[in-house]
Amino acid sequence: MRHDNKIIFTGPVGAGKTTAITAISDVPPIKTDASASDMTVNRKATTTVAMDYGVLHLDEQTKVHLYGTPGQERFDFMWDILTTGGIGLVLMLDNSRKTPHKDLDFFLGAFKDFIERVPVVIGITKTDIKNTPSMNEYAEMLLQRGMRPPIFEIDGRNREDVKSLVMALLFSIDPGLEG
Amino acid sequence: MATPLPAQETLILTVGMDDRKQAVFRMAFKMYSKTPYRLLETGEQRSPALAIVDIDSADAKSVWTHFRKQYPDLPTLIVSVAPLANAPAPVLRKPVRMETLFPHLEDLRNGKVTIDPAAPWPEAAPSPVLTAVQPAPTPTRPMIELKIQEIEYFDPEISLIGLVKMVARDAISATVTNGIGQALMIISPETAEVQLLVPTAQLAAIACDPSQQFHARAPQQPDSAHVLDTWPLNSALWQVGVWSANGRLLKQVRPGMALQLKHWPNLTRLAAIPHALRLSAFLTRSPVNPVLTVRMLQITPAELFNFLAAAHSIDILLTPTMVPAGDIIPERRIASSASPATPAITPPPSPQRGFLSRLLKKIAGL
Repeated sequence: MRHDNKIIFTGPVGAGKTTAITAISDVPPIKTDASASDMTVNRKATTTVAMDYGVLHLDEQTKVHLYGTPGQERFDFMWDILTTGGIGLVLMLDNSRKTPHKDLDFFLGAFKDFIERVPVVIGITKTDIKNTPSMNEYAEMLLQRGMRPPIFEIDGRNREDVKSLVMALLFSIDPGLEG
Repeated sequence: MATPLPAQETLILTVGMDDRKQAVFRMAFKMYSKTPYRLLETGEQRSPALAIVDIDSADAKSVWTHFRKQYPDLPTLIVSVAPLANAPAPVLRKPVRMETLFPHLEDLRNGKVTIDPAAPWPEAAPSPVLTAVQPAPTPTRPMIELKIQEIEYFDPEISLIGLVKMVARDAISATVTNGIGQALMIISPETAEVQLLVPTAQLAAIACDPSQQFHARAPQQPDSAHVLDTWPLNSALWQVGVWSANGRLLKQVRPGMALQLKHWPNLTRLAAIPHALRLSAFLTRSPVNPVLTVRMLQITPAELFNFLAAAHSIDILLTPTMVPAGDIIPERRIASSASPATPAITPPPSPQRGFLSRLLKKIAGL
């Protein structure tokens, strides 16, 4: 049976996409890390320069692919390719960055066509380092865009946090789902 | 002013389906990228291009007759659990499968099906296969309905949550005590923290006791010596809201009142409430009343009421006085939803919903 069984993880460099995929993937994700050569070197020693890939096996024939988009804007040409056939978008934002609200605007704009068709959920990481914007402030920003997606504080290393985020995505598709 | 449809969008009318079945088709259409099918929504003043008619309800004959009077020439697909003899339209057997649904719709859309408005009402044909090989009956569970006469209410203003909210709103630190002066917690709005002075089990019991009274006073030095735990203020509001409700409905909410969440709660940092994810998804979408919520999500009223109290505690619950008028479900629809309990049903399986349910189960079990 044919399914659109792909979940896309996106967000700026260092936001926790790779870590989040690692937290829930059935197999160690395929990571194409390389030494960061540009301004991202101050943020991370390695950075995803292609894409991350993880997988969830539902049965022998059915699996859900987890794709992490490259965080740098110069790889944005890949975002369209990766989103084809996706069932939802997980946007990870790093609250310790200078202007996370601009990151939010940027990524919602970059994936505008995609999220018109599928739900988006937002995970805010590193709130222990910087707690503003607050969750309420993010919610207000999104309300001004006419959006009410799930917005959760996330520690990408915490499997329960990532599980909640992905489950929120599924319930956003259909609140009547039963697991 | 109505938003113009994209040129290639194909509107599909569904007939004889409840909200759950419609939600399944709505989702299937979203997933199908080759042709932009979209469900024609209730009240939408547009002409459908195709129709899908479910004839498995008790009054299906009148549903079909009425539908054909209104749309004699509309290309139609019938969905049914039983095979049909002399059907006036192509029949798709349930459970509906994606790989057969969309080829049928494409055939209808491309005019490959002849429509006969005068074709008689289809009758179920006996199926030797059906007789010989009966699948094991799927276990059914009784439908959960909100029985209005059984609802218990509580007044948050005179409960513990009312006092905690008031202190938080006033933004002045205070120690909350019960009627006999026992210090329960210190609320510090300036640091957005609550320090618990009694064990949580005791606090929970006190919070749901209708005979308890609560007071606020200025913090005193001895209070700080008994701090057992410190919670973020929002987490405390959420939890105390649930304890205060204890399965009862907020006094200011009525069963037929359209409610909505202003936004999702930050569930990863709040105490777990059964079905919180599901309820957040459902109540964020559009205003809906408690009667419909219980019926559509099949959760107990107590679980819903606790969630509503928690949402109210952190000021994300919108009531009709706050929801823009255009978004409120008309009263006549609310009244019709508060109908007597329907018999037990088993939701029809659907391949796409089955896939998402399996994925949900997988994620939840990680």
